[in-house]
Amino acid sequence: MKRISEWFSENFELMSYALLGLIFWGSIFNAILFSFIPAPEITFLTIIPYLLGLVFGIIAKYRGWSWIN
Amino acid sequence: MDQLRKDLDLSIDAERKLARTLMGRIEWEMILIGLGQLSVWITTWTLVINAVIPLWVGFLISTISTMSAYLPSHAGQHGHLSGKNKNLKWVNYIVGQLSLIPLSQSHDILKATHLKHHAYTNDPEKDPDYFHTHVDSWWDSAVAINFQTGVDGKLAKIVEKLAIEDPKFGEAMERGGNVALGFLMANMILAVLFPLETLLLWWLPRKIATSYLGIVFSHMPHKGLTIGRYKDTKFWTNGIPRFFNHSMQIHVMHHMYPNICHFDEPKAIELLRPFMIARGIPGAEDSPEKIRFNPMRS
Repeated sequence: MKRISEWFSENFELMSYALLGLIFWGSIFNAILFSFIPAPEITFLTIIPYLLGLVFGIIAKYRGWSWIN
Repeated sequence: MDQLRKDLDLSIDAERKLARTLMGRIEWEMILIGLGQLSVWITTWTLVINAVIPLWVGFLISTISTMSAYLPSHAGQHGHLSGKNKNLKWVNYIVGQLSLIPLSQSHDILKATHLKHHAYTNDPEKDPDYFHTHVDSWWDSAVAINFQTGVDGKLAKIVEKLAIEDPKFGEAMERGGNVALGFLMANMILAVLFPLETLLLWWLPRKIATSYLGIVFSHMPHKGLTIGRYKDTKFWTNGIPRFFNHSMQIHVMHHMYPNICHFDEPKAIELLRPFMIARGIPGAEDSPEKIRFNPMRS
């Protein structure tokens, strides 16, 4: 348990970027994607924009793209 | 003209005496601009969400109004919104913070860093604005101000150093950090509810406005200049009437006397022009004697 809390406190910035990517950019990518193609039923397709957002957030953390927030 | 200057008392005491005649009023114009631009921003959101105006029109309105979001906070940072009235000091924070909502910024953080900018203008070790000021072009400044909190850590190092030297600065940064976190959460919640609106009415306008602020408030008035009360800021012009540049062509007066309200700076320059020329302030010799709507070309 202690290890988990230590990991979270040590990686707070990474978590913040990942959350920002997942929620903020994921929602935006989702809206952009499905404004071009019809929204599908709940399938793996709906996860893609959020996954993309998560990856974007993590990359931003390591590349110093503070402008994403 | 030279004879006239010789007859004038150009001492520092005379300069201060004249400057003091313009200090201490409540800058009501900035209160109006601060609350006005926030109202425009909120109205724009409402109109777009209710499909009264298209999103792209909302984006244009929001971008223009967000560009006016910083100056009222800046006035609050210097106490212009309360003037000499000590019982009205809260107005500086309240209006300053409300005005910054479109920029998602903390008034405490901007105040703390801005006052350090005044104390250490153009000092590469201590001026928080240094890295987006002393660059080669508008574009570099626009990019640098949006990237400066990144991992290269140059700004973070300055902030850390200043926090160690001045605990009150550190406390202000911590207080402001909570507000910044609140803005981050608000952005995320709104992105879930209104994704494209959040992108085009909040995120992108504030990035554009931040770039504009970096260029017009920092880069143009200070680039290439050194440290020193009469050497760190200059008169400049880009040929456009000064109101389109938030009157930052005369930012030099603000650095000479930060207690003079923004809207009184033209009057202050007209009064203090002989002192500014005598002190060798960059560009003072070429500045016009009367400052109205002109783009600061003499």
